[in-house]
Amino acid sequence: METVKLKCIIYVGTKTIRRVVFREGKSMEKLNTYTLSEEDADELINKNYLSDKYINALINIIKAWQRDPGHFKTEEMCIYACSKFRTLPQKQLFEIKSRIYYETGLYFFVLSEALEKLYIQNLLPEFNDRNRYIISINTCTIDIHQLSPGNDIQTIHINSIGTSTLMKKLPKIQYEFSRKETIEYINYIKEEIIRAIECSNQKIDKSFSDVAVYLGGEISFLNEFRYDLAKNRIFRDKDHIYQISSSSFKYQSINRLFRFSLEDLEKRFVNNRMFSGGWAYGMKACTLIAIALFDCLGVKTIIPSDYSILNGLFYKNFSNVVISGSLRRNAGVIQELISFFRKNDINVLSPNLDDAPMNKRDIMYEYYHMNAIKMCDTLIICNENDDGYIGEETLFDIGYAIANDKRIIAMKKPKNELFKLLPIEIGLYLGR
Amino acid sequence: MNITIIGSFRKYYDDICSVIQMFEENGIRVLSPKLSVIVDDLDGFVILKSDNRSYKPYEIQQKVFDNIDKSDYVYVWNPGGYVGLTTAYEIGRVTEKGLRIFYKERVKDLPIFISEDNIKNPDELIDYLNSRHLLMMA
Repeated sequence: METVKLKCIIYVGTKTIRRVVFREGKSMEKLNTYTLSEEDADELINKNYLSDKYINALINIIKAWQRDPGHFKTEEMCIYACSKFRTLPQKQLFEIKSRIYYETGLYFFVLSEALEKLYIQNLLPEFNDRNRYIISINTCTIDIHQLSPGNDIQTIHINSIGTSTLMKKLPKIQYEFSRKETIEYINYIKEEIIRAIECSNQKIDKSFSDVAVYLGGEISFLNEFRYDLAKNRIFRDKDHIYQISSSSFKYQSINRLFRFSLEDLEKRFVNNRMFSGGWAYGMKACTLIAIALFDCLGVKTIIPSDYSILNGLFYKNFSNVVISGSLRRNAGVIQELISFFRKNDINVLSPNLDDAPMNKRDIMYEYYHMNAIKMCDTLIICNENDDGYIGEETLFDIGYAIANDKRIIAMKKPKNELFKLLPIEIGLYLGR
Repeated sequence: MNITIIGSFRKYYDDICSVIQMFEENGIRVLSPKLSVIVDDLDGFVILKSDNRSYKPYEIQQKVFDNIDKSDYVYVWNPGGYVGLTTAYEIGRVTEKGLRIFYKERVKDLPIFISEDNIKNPDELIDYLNSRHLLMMA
């Protein structure tokens, strides 16, 4: 079975573009980060149509990284885009995918809700025995994931507040501010959060949990500002050794971070790879939002984390898959893939080789297979044999999956020129 | 009434041009393809002289889907039941749209359900669509 042993992911966020690598059996490795210009970031955040200028800038960054010394092969790379891209019109999104694929050979995958949930569920396998929040505060959104034991997940998306939007609403926070002002800002943000949640017909249950994992470079940030942190007594994980009470977080933020103006912060971090660019800009807004949010949720203990949603991909790259490919030519590999997936707790929705004949697809089978494509998170194209050959039946499935906005991964690059026109990921990375 | 014709242009473009003329003469507007000549062939994806020269191949293909979106029907020209790779992909994408797809013949290479009512040669399709159109006007 031909799979790739590593995957380099270019993650396109609203403000930054990051490059990370997953290697089998190793933690996610961060390579580099590019900060978009204010103008470009603003375009994605505030407009619902991306200009050629934005797309060209994106393609240029991707191409530059493809040319890097020690670059990765095409099948070892792919692009993931943050959920904000889901708000673009479908037609433009497909045009962007087609263009990026045509010019770079890389698949531009907009993280689907299903996979976003999966990666969050898999983020902290050592911490799944109680109710807990996983919080992510982004440039223009807040994601509140509520996880129960057994990993049931409910997500509240707040689309009207984020670090960038708060900076616009409260421009004064770029200067240093007093304790009294801090309380006023926090109360204002709390009202905004409650209003946003009510408007979207979602609800906060304050009794759900008093523990939150706070994602996004938080350990590095707290250490940089020398916050006093306690030892994590809730669960054991080498990447999460600290905890801090929400009251201490608030108190220390007033005495440390909020005493700096934005100008001071930008100067302080100008040569700091981790905190330069957008990071310093959003620090104060992000911390204010976090304090207000923890208060709204009734969170007493915070587990700071340097993880992002992508870390969850390390454990599992997909959860509900359909495999397409010539049953006649690739029966052995398909069988092998199914066994592998079953062993690794990945559901194969189709084919069901216990019921289907190995060498033939009929109308009933195809009907079942199409329904399965509708329900899967990833369509895997098994084309290992015959130079990556993909036949009519599989192309039909690809068309159907594209129409249903599914992620598609082919095991091998097809030689036919036609495939330059079909945006699909090449190279199957199985995760840990 | 608008229609888009799909099928192997590499094999059957001349026939398809005749079908376009028949349809147009009988009040059925063909949005795609245009009457033209083949100037290039990328492993089965055909470029026509009428395609915008400044467009990249993926943009030309997107244009086909834009025309399908504006169409009331899709007609698959598949003599002998043959559909090539591009057409198989296009059928897959169109199937999800719920648009009615007519076929010249039953498809050989795809195990998809096609009602007998949706298999029609051009004459039959013209009669059917015009009578249906008259019914809708009444």
